[in-house]
Amino acid sequence: MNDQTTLSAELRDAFQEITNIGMGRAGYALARVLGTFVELSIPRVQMVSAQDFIPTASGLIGLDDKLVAIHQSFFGRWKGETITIFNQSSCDEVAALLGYSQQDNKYSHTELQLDIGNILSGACLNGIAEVLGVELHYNHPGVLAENVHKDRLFAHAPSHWQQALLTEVNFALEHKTFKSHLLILLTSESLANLQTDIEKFMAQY
Amino acid sequence: MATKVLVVDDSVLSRKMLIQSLPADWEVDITEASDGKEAVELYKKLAPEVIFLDLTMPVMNGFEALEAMNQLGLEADVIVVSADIQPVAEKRVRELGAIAFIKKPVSTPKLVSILIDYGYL
Amino acid sequence: MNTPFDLSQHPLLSSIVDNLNVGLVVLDRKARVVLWNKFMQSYSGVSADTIAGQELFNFFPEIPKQWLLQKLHNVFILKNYSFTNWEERPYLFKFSHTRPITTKLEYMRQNCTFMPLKNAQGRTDFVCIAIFDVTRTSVHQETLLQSIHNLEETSHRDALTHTFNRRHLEDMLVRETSRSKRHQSPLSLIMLDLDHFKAINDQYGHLAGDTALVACTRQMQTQLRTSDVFARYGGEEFAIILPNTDLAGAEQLAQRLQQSLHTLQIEHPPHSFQLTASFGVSQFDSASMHSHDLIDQADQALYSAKTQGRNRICCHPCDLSAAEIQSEDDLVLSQREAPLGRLTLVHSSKTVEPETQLLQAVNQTTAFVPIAIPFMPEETDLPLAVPTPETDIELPEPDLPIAIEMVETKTSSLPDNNFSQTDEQTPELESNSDHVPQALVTFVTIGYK
Repeated sequence: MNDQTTLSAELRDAFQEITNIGMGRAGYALARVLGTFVELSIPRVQMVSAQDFIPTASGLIGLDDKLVAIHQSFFGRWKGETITIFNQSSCDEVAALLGYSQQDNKYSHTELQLDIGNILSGACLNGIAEVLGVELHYNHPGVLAENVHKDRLFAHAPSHWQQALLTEVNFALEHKTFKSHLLILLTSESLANLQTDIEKFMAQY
Repeated sequence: MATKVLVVDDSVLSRKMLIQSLPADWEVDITEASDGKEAVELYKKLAPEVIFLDLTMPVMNGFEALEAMNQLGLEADVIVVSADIQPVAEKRVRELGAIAFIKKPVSTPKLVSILIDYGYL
Repeated sequence: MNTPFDLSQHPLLSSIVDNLNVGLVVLDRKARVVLWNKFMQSYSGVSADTIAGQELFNFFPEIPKQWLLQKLHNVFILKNYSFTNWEERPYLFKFSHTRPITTKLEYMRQNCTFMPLKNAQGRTDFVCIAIFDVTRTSVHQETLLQSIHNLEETSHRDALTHTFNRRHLEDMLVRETSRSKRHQSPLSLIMLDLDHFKAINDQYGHLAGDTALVACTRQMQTQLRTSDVFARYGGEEFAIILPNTDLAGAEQLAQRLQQSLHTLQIEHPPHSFQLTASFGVSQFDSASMHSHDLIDQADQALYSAKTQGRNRICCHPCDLSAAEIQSEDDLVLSQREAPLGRLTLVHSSKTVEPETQLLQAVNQTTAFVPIAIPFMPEETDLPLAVPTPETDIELPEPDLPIAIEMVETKTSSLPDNNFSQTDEQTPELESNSDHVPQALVTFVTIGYK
């Protein structure tokens, strides 16, 4: 496997901008589903080693209340995992926006959390993949942590990889309490493909 | 005489992509700014005729920059170039006086048609 | 079916779709079925021809319609995968499963993946739902959860008597004392110790001792309410937490327990014998006490009951109070008067001059065996050492202030200079012969003040 451990500054800047565009598309799609304006952040992109992952990731998260973290892996031309983090207290608010009616009560709390994580991470990752003309596939989401403060989100440092490309984006819903961070980890084995995809995209300009 | 153009975006790549998308036959004098605050300073100093403005930027975002320019008296044609393509975003910048809203990545034909509409080409 | 999913022209693809052990359903934007593979046909009993072009809900009323429509809507708009998980939503389709004998589950557990299907133009007009049979996984998972539950239960139970163990008792005591504080409700604790239990072990063997422990446990449990927490505290010592019970109520219960033991004949063929117990009772005072104080007080009362001759109940504050131990002489006197008791000096908060007191205690009580106390400055509680009748008490660094934390006396058959040297704070004496005279031994734990 052609593992790459770095990405040049130029490529990183390019990926950041591509993520920005992808996020914009995700925001558009999410706004249609949620029926509210989605406030988007500027993406932050950096290489991270396994042992630095926990402090780095915790440092990126600016939420102080009790949080939920949903993780989900993806595969295809790029491989990796997303972690969607959001404030536990505003789950019901998003449930209402997503059209889950309280009356039928046909969903569990966890199912809702998994759905929120899946929708946010899928929308963003699809947005990015679409800009670069890449198709991705997804596995079942799972609950990584629940009802914890940000310093307790990640119990273990990841052990099966050395380096990964960590992208952080965050978004909030206008006039709502819901706030979320999305962490996208691309494994180093995907970096060669990513680099080719970015270069192909930039060649258009 | 060359048109004075201000390109505002925090991403170097994005500015490069936009500048390369400008029609070759348009005679321009380009200045670049990497955030809204810098854009407002340059707006006061240079009085550009056309401003390409990104929305999500550090320090001061595009909405805030546009508001500040309005306070100073908006006399430039502002074309918002945004990754954020939610209809609400477009509505807001139009209310603040932007003449057009283009989504990233910029397509040259779209840009050309706007420039023709406003008499730059 | 004249749809993009007509596989009749593609026999190999068709064979894969139909032989897959996964349910495949493709729906259009109006939730009408356009593909229905063999898996779906055989589990639902609905043929592909019947359901083609029909709304899914017409055939499966168990599917929550609004929920599914919303889910499909999101998949179409976001062009994004969506999922259901058996742990949250056991199934989408109510199918019977293929393991009717080996599981209690009524329906097949399913994980479902909703996939947006893009055509060549990038448009999404269809959603494919893949239905995975995860009954096997879920059975394993549930077995695992049950095992974990049993394990947790076991770790809170005493292996011999199956009553709760000390760890559980201490957990519960913390919970109950805080509840008592919150609700201002009374709370009491009984500590009890089977009398002369060592003699049973010695006389009839340890298996008889085990039988006795089990029998006494069962007998006493019949007297308790479900809210009472009965635990084996260690050895032949038991503790009972009594929520919503004041001292008088606890004392009454102790009396009933005492009576019930009197009626119990323990059978361990060829032996048949009876046992009594000593009881210490204490009530929790939420204003001034922590949970461990309650144990300490009941323990003091228990030892009081022991020293007063066993087979009796003492309530805290007990007769042999720390207040009586005022002078150096009292230590010796108390030990003489309570030859089987344990004096817990720490409760008198009285710092003693160990050299003088202990030496006096040893010198004035002929029955005492002098003990050498090794001194380990790094540690706060000290195990004992080997006593010999000739040795004086060695207290190193005599100018260091030292507090006596506990003095314990025990009668035991004293083997010939063979004390088992253990790390435990209260080591057992090995009693391995019948002709050795009974002796009184004092265990002392000391530490820095």
